[in-house]
Amino acid sequence: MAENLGDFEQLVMLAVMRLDEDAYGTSIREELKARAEREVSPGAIFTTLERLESRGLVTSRYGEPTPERGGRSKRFYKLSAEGRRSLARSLRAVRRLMQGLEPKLERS
Amino acid sequence: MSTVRPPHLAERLLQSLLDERSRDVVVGDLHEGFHAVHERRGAAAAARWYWSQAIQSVFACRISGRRQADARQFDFEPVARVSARDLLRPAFRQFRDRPLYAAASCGTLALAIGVACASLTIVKSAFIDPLPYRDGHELVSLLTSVDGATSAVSTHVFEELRGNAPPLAQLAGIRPTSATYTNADGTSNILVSGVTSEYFSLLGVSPVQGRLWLPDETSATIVSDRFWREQLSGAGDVIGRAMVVDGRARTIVGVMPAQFVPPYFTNTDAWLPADMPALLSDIRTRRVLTVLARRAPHASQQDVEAFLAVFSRQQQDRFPELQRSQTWVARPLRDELVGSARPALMAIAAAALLLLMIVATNLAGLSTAQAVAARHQMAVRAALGATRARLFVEQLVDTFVLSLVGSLAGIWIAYGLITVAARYQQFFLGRIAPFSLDLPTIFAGIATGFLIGLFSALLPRSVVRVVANDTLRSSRSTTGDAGVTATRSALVAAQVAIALVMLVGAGLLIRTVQHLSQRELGFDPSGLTWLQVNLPGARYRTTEAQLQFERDVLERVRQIPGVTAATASVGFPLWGGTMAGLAIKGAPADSPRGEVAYLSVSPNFVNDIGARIIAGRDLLPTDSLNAPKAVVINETMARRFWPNGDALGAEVYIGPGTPGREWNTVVGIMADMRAHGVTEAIRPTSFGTTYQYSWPRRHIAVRTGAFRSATLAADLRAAVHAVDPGIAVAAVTTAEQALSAGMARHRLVMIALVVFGGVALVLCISGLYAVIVLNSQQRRREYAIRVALGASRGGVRWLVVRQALVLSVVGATAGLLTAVMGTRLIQGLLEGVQPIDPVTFSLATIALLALATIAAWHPARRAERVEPIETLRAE
Repeated sequence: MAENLGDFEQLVMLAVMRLDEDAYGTSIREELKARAEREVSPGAIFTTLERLESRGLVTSRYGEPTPERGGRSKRFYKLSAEGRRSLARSLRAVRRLMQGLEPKLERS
Repeated sequence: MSTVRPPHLAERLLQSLLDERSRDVVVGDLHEGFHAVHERRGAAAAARWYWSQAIQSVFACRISGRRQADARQFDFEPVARVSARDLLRPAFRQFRDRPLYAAASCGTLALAIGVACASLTIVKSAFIDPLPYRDGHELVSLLTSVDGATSAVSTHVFEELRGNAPPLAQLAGIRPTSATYTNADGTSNILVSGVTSEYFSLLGVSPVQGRLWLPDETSATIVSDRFWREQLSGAGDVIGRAMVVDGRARTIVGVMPAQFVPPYFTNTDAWLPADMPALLSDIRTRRVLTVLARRAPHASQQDVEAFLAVFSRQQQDRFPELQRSQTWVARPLRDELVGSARPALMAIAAAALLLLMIVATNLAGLSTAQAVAARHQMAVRAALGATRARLFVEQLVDTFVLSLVGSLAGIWIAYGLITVAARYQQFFLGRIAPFSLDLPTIFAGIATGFLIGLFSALLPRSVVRVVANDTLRSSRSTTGDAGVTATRSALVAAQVAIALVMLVGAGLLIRTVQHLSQRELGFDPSGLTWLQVNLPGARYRTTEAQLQFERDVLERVRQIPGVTAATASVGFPLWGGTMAGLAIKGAPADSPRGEVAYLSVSPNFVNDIGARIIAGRDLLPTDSLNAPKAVVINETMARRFWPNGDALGAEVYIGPGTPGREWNTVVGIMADMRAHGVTEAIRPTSFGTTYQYSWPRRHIAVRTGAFRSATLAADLRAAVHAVDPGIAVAAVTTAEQALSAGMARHRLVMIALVVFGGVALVLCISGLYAVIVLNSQQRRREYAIRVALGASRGGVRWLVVRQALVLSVVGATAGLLTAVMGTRLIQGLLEGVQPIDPVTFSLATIALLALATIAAWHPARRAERVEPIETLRAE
């Protein structure tokens, strides 16, 4: 199923992959801020992940409640096999389109 | 760490605004982020951060996220459970997704519901709501009737009926007088009613403070709530206090409640026990008592009328001095109170109903267009498995939400309209308790809104067919098919018809008001100002004292800068005069005695007031106390009683009682004046001099030229007070004010009809425009072919305009027929114009057809510019 991923969806999925076992709301947000220089609200991340989960691209599980979350559980996310394929396909498309353009892009 | 907590309010908001799926995760993330920021940048920064992130998160979860995730459009599981929320949220989202349609629907509905509720409130309070008295339906007003004109009742007749009239369980008499109230600050004019002992129990009202007076308390008084607030500063200890009325001390024993509106003399300030011995010492033919009665429990209105017919015959037999045509009649109190306002109320109610109808048809047209526009989407959803029932329920919910919002806005509009109407209540329903919007009316308004909504939801369903395959295969056009066009055309024709009826009604009222304002008054109202004074107490008992006052005041007011003339009278033309019996010397003894109005005026009155003598002379200073008595009569009186034209020089007696003591000579005939206001018929009227007939009150009238002092009212008061500081001056009035008050009712109905008619016109023309645009879009291909085959551009333009004209002519014909039948309803309101007035009917029709042509002009221009090749290629 050739589903297209939005720009922000790709970023979130990449962040989830990078964080591996520790991907949950706050860590994803910090990762995006640190590496993609994107400041987003927890709500935006949540709805994006919800959407990705409803499309079967990520899965989630609840962790133990922690005091710094006011006794609430973390919700950890992981890319599904379908998610990984979908992301790879999107990025491949980007890479192919970028071929030969790197020097130009670096300059700008 | 646990001591620091995120802002409580923000957290609460998040808890309530987020759904259960997102709540824990998002709030947890925010909580964690909050502590991180707090450690790095302190409490204030953390709170700021929390708030801004919370708001953004709510926005993301509730709005932008939902918009993408809104399941409704794609949720077609036939067995899926549909919650009310699933239906309601998209229904409210109409306001965002199709704001123009939503606003137009709600706006027009609100307007119609508002106007209808306001009219209903007024009509209901006039005809349906119980009168604010105990068993108000049993109350009647007892009147003397002479030649069909009704007036008050003789005290002697009242006494004879009291207790001797089986069908009337209770009678109460009211004798209103203007009185002078004196307190530490000076004097003021108040309205007092002398009432007989049954008055309060008959109406079933009692004081809110204090008590009713006892039979022997002849000096007691009960004051109105307004008087208590304004003159007694609402003091808590007024009961038992003394107040001075007309120089006599009285004891306040009670204060009436604020909501008590007396059926007659609504502005009464105080009620006193009627002085029956004094009233009974007067002659039988003087009629001064206003009489209310309650029908006995088993007596019908017919019983009362039959009894009074017998009573009238007995009176005629016993008292030959009565006018022959004099009878006594009983009218249901409600008829008396609403009476003359009926046609005005009916006109406004009918106009509101028409407005409601035009809005219903307009909304049906709008929703048909909307249904056509949404057809493609519906077809997609039907193809994907949405059941017809589901689609229909959604459509109903959408319509009901629009109706509800529109109706609620309408109730709000009605509230505003009623507040405004209450300000003008005195002109048409002054004697009915003040208007207010009540719950039944509000429910009726909302129910009507829903009915209109249902109509506008069901109509498109029957004409706009959603057949998945057909619709999807055809192009995604916004135009409709033949059935839709026919329906919308019929709706527009209906709107044209209704709008025309309203235009005709408005036109007739405009013509009436125009006629009234151009009506010959018979005197010159320009620059005329007057005031009224009572001359109280023993000081003014003699005619000489009254005349001295009159002369002194006139002398002073003539010196006020700008005053060119001044005159005095007892009873002023626009105020009216006393009705009195007329006897003509030399007439056969059994010839009928008529009734005429009588006023006392100072010499040269006819000249000073700007009226015209057509025969004989004006009253002169030489018509003094000891000179032969002289009267000037108006033309109507001369014509009615001297049809042979020999009125001048006739000797007459005008007044109650038996003629013969002193005869008056008719010395002049004046042109008719609209002495009782522009809308009333001219009554036979006679004028004598204050020198010969004087009562202890005066109207002082002055005329100012081009220069009218800004302080005129104050100067007039000062002139009166310079002569006698103890005299209270009632309101100073100008002739212009009085004349426009006389026309206020006609003006109000006119304004209502013009405004309603204008709204109807706008709705109807916009509906017409929409249909013409739709039609010409559909027929674009046809136009292109015509042009390609050599038709002229003008010919194509005419095709479009002709459509508009055909629709309008069909509608206008129906409208004219309805108007011919309907204008009879407002006949009672019309003056100087026939209900079927050719000028009004044709002007309204022409205006409507002209507007229809203008509305068709824009689509016609577009049609004529059709490019055959492009259009046909696109097809």
